[in-house]
Amino acid sequence: MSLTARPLPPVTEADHSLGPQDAPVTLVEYGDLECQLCGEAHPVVERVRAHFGDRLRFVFRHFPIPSAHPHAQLAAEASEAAAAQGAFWPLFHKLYENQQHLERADLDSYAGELGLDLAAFDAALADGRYSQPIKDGFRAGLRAGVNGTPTFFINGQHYAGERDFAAMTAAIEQAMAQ
Amino acid sequence: MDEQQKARLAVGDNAPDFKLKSSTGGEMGLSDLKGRPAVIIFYPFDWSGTCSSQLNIIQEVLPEFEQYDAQVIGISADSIFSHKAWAEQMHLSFPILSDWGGKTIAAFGVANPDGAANRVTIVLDKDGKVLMRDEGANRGVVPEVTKVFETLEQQGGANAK
Repeated sequence: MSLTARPLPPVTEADHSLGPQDAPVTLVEYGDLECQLCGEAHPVVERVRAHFGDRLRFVFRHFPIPSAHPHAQLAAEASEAAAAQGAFWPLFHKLYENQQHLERADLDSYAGELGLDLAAFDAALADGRYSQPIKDGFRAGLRAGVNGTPTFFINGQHYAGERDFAAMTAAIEQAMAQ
Repeated sequence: MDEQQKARLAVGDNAPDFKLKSSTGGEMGLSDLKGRPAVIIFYPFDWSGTCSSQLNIIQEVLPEFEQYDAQVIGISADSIFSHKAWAEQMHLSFPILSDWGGKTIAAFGVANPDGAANRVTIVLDKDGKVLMRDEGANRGVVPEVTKVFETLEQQGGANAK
């Protein structure tokens, strides 16, 4: 199947999301957990989330670029392994806050700190069960117009503005007004 | 600027001839590309965040181009020494050509006033004619790779494997 353009896949139960499902605005991030620009955007997104509270739903989708970020794919798989134990977001935050330390042992260490079942966590990473779904998500993102990381969509519209608090809150407020 | 406007290629134009040093060794030019469709990615600078992610995404989907028997090259005005170091660090396996001095960039009509390339992707057919030219709204905006695949898909039939 060719990489021709397709619409942004709709947000579903399968997505990792924070905030109410019926929030007036949904912010989707396509990110790479080892990407420096994503790491820099992370605290901005956290501040934006705190600012809007229940008026904003935030969704994170994986878009790892392993040729640039050799730890990104496994970090993404680790977050999915954590998700299987109900801990996607705690590990997600840890990974974004520790982008310089994403070796295999670091991932185990974070999983341990979060009290995850390490045997199950390791088994999931060892058999690569999340590898293909993440690669499929990468392709779907690419077809929806993701052309770098991080890429944001506000209510399904590609956000091409600055990744700072003022610009992002203004764009989200504009979407709320529509 | 007038010179650049005049030089801007339109769909159906023949690509100008060129011969440039490649990150993969030796030189590469238009004559080497003929016979197969070619995707030429002009970009401003090695080492910048946007360029890196742009070319890394191309690297990630490189096998997809083979479906169309298409070649992919990058061109910027950086030196061949910069290209080789950058391509190695970024694990870019496709040729990155050095247009030191910017003559090819100008000939393709993709030069910024600073002499480096704007972010423009051009698709050539097997005879070196322009099939598609897509430019980011500004240097920070990457042309969508989906448009390249749509062009190759349309070209499809005759050239696709």
